[in-house]
Amino acid sequence: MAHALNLTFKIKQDAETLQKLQDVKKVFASQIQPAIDSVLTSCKLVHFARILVIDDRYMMVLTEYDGDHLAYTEFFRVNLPDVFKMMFSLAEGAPPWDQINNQNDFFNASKVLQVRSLGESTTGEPDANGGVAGYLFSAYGQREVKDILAKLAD
Amino acid sequence: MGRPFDRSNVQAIILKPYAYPISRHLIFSIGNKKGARAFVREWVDSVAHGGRDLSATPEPLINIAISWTGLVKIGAFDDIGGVDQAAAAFPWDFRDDPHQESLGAFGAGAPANWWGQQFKSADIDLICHLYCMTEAGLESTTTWLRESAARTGLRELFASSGGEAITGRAYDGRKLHFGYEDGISHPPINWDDVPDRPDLLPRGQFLLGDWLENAQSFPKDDPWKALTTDGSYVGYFWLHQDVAAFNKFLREQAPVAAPHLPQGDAEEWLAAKLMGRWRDGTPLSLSPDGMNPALATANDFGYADDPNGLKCPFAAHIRIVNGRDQPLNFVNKSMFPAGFPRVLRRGSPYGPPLTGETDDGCDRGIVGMFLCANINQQIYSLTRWIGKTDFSDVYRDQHGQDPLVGNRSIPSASTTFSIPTDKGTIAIKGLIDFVRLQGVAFLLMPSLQTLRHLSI
Repeated sequence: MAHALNLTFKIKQDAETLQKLQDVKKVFASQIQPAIDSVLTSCKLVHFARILVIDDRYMMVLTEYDGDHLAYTEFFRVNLPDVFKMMFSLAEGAPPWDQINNQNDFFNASKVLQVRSLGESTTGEPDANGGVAGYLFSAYGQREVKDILAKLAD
Repeated sequence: MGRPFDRSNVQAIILKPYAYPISRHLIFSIGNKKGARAFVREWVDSVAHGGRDLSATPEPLINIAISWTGLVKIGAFDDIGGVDQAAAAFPWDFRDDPHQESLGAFGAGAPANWWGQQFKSADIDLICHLYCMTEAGLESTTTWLRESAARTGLRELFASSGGEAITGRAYDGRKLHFGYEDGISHPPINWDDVPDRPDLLPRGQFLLGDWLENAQSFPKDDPWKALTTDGSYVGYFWLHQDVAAFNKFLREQAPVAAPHLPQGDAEEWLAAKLMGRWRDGTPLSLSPDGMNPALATANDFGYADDPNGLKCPFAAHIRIVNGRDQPLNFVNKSMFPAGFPRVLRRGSPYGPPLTGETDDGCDRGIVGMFLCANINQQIYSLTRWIGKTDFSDVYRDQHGQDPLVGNRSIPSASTTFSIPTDKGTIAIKGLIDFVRLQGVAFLLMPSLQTLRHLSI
């Protein structure tokens, strides 16, 4: 069953950060997106993923992924360090990357940024804080990326 | 060489399992800081450590483990920045309640049913683990500990309405209740940090205080790191085994699994396929066709020569919990570059033995600990994989489970155990829960130096 990751943070509004944000936008398709694509294709855990910027004030990372986020947070830190370094460098209040670039601090920093969706999971999925996760619709029910890919290959 | 290593600073059970037939685990809630420190002060010099000669099996052996709430209550953080700063330094998997999803703790094994419904895991502050050779030694030590606890405001928590402490007793050598020999395989560890020993695992995977970039443990910075150095995280597990149901399963499924064998032989064959070892300990990988007393304690084997699971099924218990040279998938290879996560196992059976298929209503199973330096990466990884065999691409059923220990209430879990043979795959359907979690708690087994510090 897919879980939702809704990382959301405010972007620092100083001139240097805003310029850096524009630079990221310019190179995202050519330089950042391919790395994400490669990792997510290989891991066979993520259904969908996208990164949004809202009014240059907020950044959101939205994904739907299989398995326990407690199991895989470390995988994403290890395999997409430059992407997360970029994001945390833009985020208001975020510690320096070299301070959080370890399993424990990265997990803590990411958890704080997770936003629960409205409603309640119809399958009783737990959220990161032990409560019931927010509502997430999946046309595939409990099927996971590996299940779907296997069926498509048949 | 890394930092100096003083074995006398490490609680002995971390360094090696004890060959003691009796164990008892006294579970306590702390009443107040002063009393808790007085209790530790009374017992710290009795704690078994790695500098003691245990070859003459002196009794009792005592080890002490303290939970996150226990560390808070005993004031471990009072002089080093307080609880909030410590909470940021310590990992979530030690601070939080045991994680239901990661443990596969559903249905009858759900946390709401743990500890005989007498208390919750979050109520556990401190556990005294006793190991004795004699019943007299057990009872006298238990009495002393209880008297000490009563004087110092520790309240013992009982997981039964009858007020009995969880007590492990060997009933037939090293056999566990499903009839398997236990304690054959232990990770080989480079305790002394000797250079150029790739055959040994770094001690930093099991002992806190050594930073390993590819096997991180926390806290990683002082002053909190000093508190945990030379300690280990303990996963304390209490598991019920349904022996009657297991025996019935073997009898009913043996003709399906091995129709070419007489009933008794077929049951042993099926039991071996479920575990990955014959019940005498002989590994299937070294002797797929029968027990071999010469190989009963053999541990030098891998799965590279068994890519189709013809000798040892992929979902056999030992192939899941110690994959050896089996390849991990892309995700896990990057998370575990040093290989399969390992844990130290220190457990024993409890409850009376049972033969036959009629349950007698007695509680029996396994009690003990898993020790490691990173609960999420080591203990939880293995419990996740027990519940779902999606950690390696060799598994054709990515929703399969450990047939012996898996919880069939896990959503989407397959209840079929596949046994590859050269004549095709045998599907054993209708796996049930043979094992049920009755309680899990995570604690720190601190160094002697830390215990002395917490006794002042």
